Amino acid sequence: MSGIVDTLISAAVGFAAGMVGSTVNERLKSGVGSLEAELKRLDDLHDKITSLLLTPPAERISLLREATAMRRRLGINLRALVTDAPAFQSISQRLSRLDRVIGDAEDGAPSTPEREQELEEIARGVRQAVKSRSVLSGSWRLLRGR
Amino acid sequence: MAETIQLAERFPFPFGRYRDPHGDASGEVFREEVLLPAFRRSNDTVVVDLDGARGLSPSFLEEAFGGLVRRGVARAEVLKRLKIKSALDPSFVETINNYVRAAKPA
Repeated sequence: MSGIVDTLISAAVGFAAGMVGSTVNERLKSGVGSLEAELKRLDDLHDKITSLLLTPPAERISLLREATAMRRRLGINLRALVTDAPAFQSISQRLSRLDRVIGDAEDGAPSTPEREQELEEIARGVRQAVKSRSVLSGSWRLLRGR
Repeated sequence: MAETIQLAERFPFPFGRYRDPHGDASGEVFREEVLLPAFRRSNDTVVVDLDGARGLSPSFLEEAFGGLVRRGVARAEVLKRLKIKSALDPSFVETINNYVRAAKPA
């Protein structure tokens, strides 16, 4: 009788652990998926700013509105997803540099190799900070292997 | 007592540097009609809450906050009395402080 009870208890504990593990796994996948979506938004913003710098200043208004709205959304979403303060601080510094480039574009600055390079460097830095410094970085490596 | 300004109440999509050509949602308008009067009304802290604004254009922010220094408010006073509230995205606090630090008196 005792053996049957032990078996049933073991099975119940195993089942519960499996359920918890599965839930945690799904949550990690969801978190990494959300971060990937924000990195896609970052790429889109990068492209948008590049187009902006190549557009004559008088014709930039609608692109600028789109770029500032995307930048706003990116910052808000990354803040919600990257909850550890040092990681977000690292991202924040780069977003602030991105604001300077968008500000230059608003003031009519042209595309130059230096500005393009800076933009590339900022985007790479944000991507790196999101992947390597957020609390999800371990999950990222496990799930995506990079 | 601190005065709190909710940016989005009057500027839901703040955009552009100057009234001409960017209109009434520009940084110049915000500075001249809202921010500077708040600084002049008292010597207390001025809190600007950015949450709720749909976009925050860098030239708007530079003209509004860096522009305080160009309009004669000492940089040290701006840094001391201005508090930016941006719970949804604190990165703009750094952006704005950088603008104030870089602004030169006219």
